[in-house]
Amino acid sequence: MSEHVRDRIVGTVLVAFAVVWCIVVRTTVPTAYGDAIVGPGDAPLWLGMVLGLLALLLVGRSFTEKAAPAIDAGEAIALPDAADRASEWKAIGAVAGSLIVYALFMEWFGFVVATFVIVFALLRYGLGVRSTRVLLGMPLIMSFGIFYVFGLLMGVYLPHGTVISPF
Amino acid sequence: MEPFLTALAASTTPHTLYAMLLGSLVGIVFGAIPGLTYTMALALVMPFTFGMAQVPAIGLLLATYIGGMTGGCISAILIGIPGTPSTAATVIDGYPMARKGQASLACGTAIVASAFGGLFSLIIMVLSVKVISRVAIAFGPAEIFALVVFGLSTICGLSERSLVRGLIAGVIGIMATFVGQDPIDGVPRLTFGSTTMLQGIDIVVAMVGLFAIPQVINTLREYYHGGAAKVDPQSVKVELPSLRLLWKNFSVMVRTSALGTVVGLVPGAHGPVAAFLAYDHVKRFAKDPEQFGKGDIRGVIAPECANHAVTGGAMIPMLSLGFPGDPATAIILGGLLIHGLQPGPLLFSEHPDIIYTIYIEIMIGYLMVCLIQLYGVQLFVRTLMVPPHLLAVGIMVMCIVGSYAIRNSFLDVYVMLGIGLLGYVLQRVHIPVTPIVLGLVLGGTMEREFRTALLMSEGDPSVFYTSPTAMMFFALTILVFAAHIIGQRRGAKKARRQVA
Repeated sequence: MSEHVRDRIVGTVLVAFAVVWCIVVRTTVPTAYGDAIVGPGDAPLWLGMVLGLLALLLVGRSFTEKAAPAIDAGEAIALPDAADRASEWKAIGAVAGSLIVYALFMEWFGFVVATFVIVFALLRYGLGVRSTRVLLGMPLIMSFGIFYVFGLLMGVYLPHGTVISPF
Repeated sequence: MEPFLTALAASTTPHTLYAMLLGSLVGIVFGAIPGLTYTMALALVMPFTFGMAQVPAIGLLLATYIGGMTGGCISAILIGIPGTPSTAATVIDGYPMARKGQASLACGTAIVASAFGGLFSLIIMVLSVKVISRVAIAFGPAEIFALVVFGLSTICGLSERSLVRGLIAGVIGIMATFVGQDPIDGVPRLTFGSTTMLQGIDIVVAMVGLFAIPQVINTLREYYHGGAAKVDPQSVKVELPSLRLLWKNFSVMVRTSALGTVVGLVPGAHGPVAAFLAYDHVKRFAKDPEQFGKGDIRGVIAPECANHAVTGGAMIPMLSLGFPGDPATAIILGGLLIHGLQPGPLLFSEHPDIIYTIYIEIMIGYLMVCLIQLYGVQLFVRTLMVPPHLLAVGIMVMCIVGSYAIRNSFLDVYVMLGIGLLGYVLQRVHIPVTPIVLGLVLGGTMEREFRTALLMSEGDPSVFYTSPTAMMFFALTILVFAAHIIGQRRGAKKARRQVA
């Protein structure tokens, strides 16, 4: 996919988002109370419009510019085009899946149990780690170590489980 | 002289120094871990001060504040995830330096720059506290709004070759601040009836997601694609900044520290604004701006000097007028009140020894934090010896802890994940994420001050163009955008000529 085609897709998605945003803001947030000339709904509406215009500009420039736009500063992680798509989806799945399950487990079983189980599972089944030292040491340090240092010594509130709460 | 000597003696007792050492360590740890903030650290150490005498109690709070401000650069440089919003600008050049095997040099320089910025602003504070406090109260909502708009002009520097992309990112960041309760009328906006959404999107939660999740996905992607990466021992060599290097960049340090001190005076504008403005300023006036973003030491020095120089600026209105500029100074103010001290003009005449104590403790705090961190650099950079895929697992756990601990809310964890995935997609389509952070930092202040100014003027928009200060900032904003667009066009023309 060329830079221009990608810009057109991104621009179109952003225009659609801006339109939906403006409709939602207009229908759910009041514009102004009393004598105030600017209300709670005005700034979100204006910014939605600005986003829409900028997205249109992005699409428009993809038709007028000849050279492909250069990569911006601040993109710390630029990925090579030839990178394996399967690896990418696997990584996204591993991160999103494990974080969602982690948050749910933490709600049910508390920080210590959830962290131990998730870190162990991620290392063993997500990353294929076989070293017993890493498989046991890392979950122990991440769960009990953080619980001791932050939870007990520093007083940071770490979640207790709603189903079981051993710590 | 007597109040000064009394303060010096009280500030250097073992009890006070121990309290400050503890505060420095707690602050550094909270600052260094993405999601844990120094405001949180201050709130946690505050109860310990109840049973302490005045001087060690103030020392503990100030050292925690300073440690927390400084600690954020470590994670920004080593793993590319800013520990605090103020260090978001440090990532741009600090992280590339770490990837080039210059992690310790970047960390060491950032630590020295932080101490320099902090001590610089302290000197300004000592010399001109009464004069500068008058400037601070001259900033009304219209002037603050204009300053924030000027702050947004740094997007130009963050999106060098595609301003449109940078602006899109900045606007997305500002739009994210609209979710939750409206700052003026308290009306729920875009919460879809959910009470938990009323709290809105926390900047630190968003920042953790934007910087950490794409990083973790990329590390795992590389791992799945090519197996475990070998750690280069060169990447952990310890190299501290030489005096020559610091002297070479002395003017950068002075200019950005002065800028940070001035920004610190303005309520609601603080560290992140100062850091981004300083970064943009140094890049704009550099002979070789193309080096920025690739691991240029000036890109580390500028934001670190500026965001620490803010401390002195923020202390001036707090001490001389009794109003805090940000949540952290509000907690310090609370600590002073608990110990029977009422900041304001009377504090200077009735308790000059306490004022000197604060000055001396800020100085000791900076030196202490600087020494601890310089000593700790060899330990910090060892993080890079951990294989990246294992480090990614650790980062994931800390992301969860950090995003949950901010407000003890699981919603924040899901928000962090959602924003992180969005950040990854945006990076893949070449939309920079740093302007999103800028938008998140400035969006809330911009809307609040804009509406407050209009409310105070009973809807009269002339409030924005009758204030010389506001007009100056608007003019500067237009100038920066114009210079950027003209520069871009000239560059494009030159490139076309070279091709021809």
